[in-house]
Amino acid sequence: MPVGLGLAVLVPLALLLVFVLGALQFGDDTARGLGVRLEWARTALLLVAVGLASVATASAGPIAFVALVVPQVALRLVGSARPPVLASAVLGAALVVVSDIIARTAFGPVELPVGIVTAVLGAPYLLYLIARRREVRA
Amino acid sequence: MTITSSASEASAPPAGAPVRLRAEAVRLAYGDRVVVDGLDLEVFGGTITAVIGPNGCGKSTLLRALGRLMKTRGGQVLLDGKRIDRMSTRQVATVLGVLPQAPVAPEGLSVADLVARGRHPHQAWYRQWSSDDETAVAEALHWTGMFDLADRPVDELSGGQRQRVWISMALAQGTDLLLLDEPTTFLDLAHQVDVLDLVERLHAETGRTVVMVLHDLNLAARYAQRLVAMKDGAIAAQGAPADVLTEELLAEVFELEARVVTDPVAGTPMVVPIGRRRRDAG
Repeated sequence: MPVGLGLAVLVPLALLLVFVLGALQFGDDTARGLGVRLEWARTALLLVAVGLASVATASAGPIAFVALVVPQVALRLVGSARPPVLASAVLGAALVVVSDIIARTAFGPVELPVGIVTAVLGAPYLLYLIARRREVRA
Repeated sequence: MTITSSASEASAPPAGAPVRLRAEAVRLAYGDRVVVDGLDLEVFGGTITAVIGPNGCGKSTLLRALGRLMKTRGGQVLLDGKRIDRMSTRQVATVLGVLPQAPVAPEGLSVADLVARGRHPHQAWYRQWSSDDETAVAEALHWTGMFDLADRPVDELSGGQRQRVWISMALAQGTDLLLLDEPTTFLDLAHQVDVLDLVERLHAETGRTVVMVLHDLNLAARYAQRLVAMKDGAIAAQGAPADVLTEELLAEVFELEARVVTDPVAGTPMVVPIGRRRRDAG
């Protein structure tokens, strides 16, 4: 129940803050020029992010690579102008559930920790992203 | 100091123009390093003002303070007579648009989406997009000639086109006061002229007030009605280009030995640097 309660407060806040996040993408001066109260926006975003991460970790334990990879995938799938917070949440949940099924069933009687499966799925994609970014710069 | 005396004569305001921005004894610093101290400046409505000066003289810092991107350590900045630091960020953003030096667009963002972000100060979390926004964005894109490229990712455009996109964003913001920090950086001469032509057209056709930091003195003299020359965080001279851009000022402010002749095209002053080798030979 405390998880549900935490999410009921934090998720709507996160979705509201997407509005500010869109302007923050451009760097400090541009964001300020567009009327964003930078310190306030950063603090609010940080608090909500920490809150959400705490709720997730407290209820499911540490699961690596989900937060690193999923937003990148969501961004490419959705192609929206603002950071796709909702799509990231849905995709992240899907990834964890699929990973959990794999972890429980793939190796017969041996149950793997979910984090290992998400790492195996997520790490290569992250490496690919980094490699591609290098290429773009070069 | 002949420059200071000629500066005070030249700084007489254009007749009837209202003061949109006023800096009073402004002191600006990064950490302990004071960049600008005791600076007074007036920006008149409906004029293009160019701020010139050597690297590190504090001209970008001054522009940031005028746009409320940084706090003053002393003195004050007044926007339309009101203290800018007492106005809300959003209130400022509906009157005054700022284009920072070399802004970066997020990877893959389209031209239309970037320009749409200029509508931020007119939106709220409960009303994120309206038909007014739609119209403003389309108008801005038409203005800058970027409408046909609206769906292209910004990072695939050329430098000149990219600058047009950022100017479109500032236009979509709908402010009649624009602060541009070196809008021509990294552009070749043709594209510099192109961007400045756009600024001039904006000024002429929509009456916008523009303050811009420029490096190229000849272009500054040609496109601005008022020049503000800065040195070591203070104003060395301000006024009409013909009064400011003199051989004495170039020596004083830029430590540059140069001839000032009349631009054969625009009739404005034009700087022809002499350079050490020629000076020694002569």
